Amino acid sequence: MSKYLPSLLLFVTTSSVANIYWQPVEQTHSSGHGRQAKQFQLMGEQPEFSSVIEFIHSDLVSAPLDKKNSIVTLKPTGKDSYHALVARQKSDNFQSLAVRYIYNNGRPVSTSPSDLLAVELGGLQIIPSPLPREHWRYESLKTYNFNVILDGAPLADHPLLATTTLGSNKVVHTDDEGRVQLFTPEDFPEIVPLKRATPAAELQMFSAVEKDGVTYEASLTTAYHASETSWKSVSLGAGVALAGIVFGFVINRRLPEHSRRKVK
Amino acid sequence: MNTLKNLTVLRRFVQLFMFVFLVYGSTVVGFYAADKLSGALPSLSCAYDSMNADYCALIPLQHQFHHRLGPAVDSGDYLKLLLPVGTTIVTFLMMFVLLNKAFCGWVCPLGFFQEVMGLIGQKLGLRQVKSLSHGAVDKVRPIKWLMLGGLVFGLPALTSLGFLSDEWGDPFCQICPSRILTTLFTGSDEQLFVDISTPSYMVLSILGDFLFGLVIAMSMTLRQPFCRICPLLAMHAVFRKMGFVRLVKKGSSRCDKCGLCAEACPMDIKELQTDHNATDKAKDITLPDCTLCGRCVEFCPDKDVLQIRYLNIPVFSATPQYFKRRKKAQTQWEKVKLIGFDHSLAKPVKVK
Repeated sequence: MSKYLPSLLLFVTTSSVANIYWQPVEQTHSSGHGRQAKQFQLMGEQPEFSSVIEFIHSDLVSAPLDKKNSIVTLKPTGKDSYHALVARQKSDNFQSLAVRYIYNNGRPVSTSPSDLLAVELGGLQIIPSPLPREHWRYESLKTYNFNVILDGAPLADHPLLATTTLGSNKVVHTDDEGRVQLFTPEDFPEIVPLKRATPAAELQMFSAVEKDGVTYEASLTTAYHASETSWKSVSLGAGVALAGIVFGFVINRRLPEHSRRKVK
Repeated sequence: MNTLKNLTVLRRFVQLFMFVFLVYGSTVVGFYAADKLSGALPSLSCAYDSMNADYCALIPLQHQFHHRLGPAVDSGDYLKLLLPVGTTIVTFLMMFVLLNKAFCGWVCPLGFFQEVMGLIGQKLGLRQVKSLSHGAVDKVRPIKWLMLGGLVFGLPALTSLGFLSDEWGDPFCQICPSRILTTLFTGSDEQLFVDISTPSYMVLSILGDFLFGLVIAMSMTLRQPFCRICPLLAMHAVFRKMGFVRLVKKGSSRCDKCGLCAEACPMDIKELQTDHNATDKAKDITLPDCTLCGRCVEFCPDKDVLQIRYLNIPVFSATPQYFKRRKKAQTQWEKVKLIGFDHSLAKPVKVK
């Protein structure tokens, strides 16, 4: 643990202020199926370093992106599945990485999100394990797993700061294999009981470490939504299923026996 | 011959393997949609199951009609709809032709679950309804077409065109018992819920939960209750003439008086007995409700009257010897009961 004290101190003192991270720019309208241009702003940039931005498509084709006033505009790629929006700031003794995984709809690609997650971005990385898949999304009151690696190797017993734009903060630590579990808070002030009715908030994860005189920083951001448990009751569901079972047994008793097929 | 060496036992092992593979197989094929076997499986394997190896064709079809029909009509560009639907259908067919309707009888996790519940019911000594009456079967048969036309295509299409609210975009998934079943098997109770967010969601979720309970109870007495109304069975029926596996029959006058095949059929297909009884040539009798389980062939006492053929090559044929052994094995199996419920509590209605 002692070897990580400097990084922990660095981490606590710098927190999200120094890390670069992606944040969505409020959209005035949406076409609903992920085909519209999306805008993201790179926050926390240190002016003395230039930022390099890269958009890795779901088929792992990489395209450089230009930003305007720290904002990048992502046009539809026509490719399905997750893409990675990556920003880097770098000097001789400093490396900062901001990653956001973005889902696009389009034609199927032969690569899997696993391939995208396996792309080595260098330095310190926070990697979802796994990314939400079909019918899933990040939600409150659920546990999600992440891997933390430094130059491709798991970073054991290392702190991460998880914050939300709704004001929650939590420090979590990786285990011996660089894995970390995060239980997401329910901090939405007002939940409208419908899947897309409550606006999503941002979940931000930050980490930092110093190794061989180089400071590494990493951030991962994603949208998260209010827990559906606010309007979906499992106990009621179990009760209804039980009623179905009882009704089924009642029907069973009334079903006529018809033991041998007969010609009409 | 060991009484356990028969087609049904083999089928149970295949079903068990497929159940485990489809419900937990993400560790083999990969976690994400892009890794799945097809994304258009001809069996009810559910995408809500976080560990599945593949998911059924009805999911993309509902989504495509829900999300693509409206924009296609608005823009006049019907390729927006036809391309994804065509891709799903072609993918479905690439798998379907290999096994035809055997995807129901040999692969479907929900089909297997219902058979297991039937075995449990029988071993508990619950009253077993061997077959439904002809009248009841005739009434139930159209439901699967209504489920396919209404829940898989109709309501999602109406939703896409703006006639219904968004909740009706994937109505079959919302009532499908396989969604609840397979997620429960992965240890998650998230899909067994009542959704109180809107009246439509509430109705659909209550229907789904109730149907799930109904299927559990009814499958302990009646064979394959949900299969009889499954929209995938109807979709199989549309394409069944393209499948490599077929059930064929070369009947005789003895068939008129026998009916063991129809009695053995878990789907109560009476035509197994009545059709193709005076023919010199074996004819395809893979009927719309058939799941190609092969029980009719097992319980046919006459040589080669019923056969399962793959690319017209017989792979399993009825023989008197097999029939005798199978009948004996079935009798022995049915004698084994763990608990004998008092049948006088049940009040079966005798049908004339």
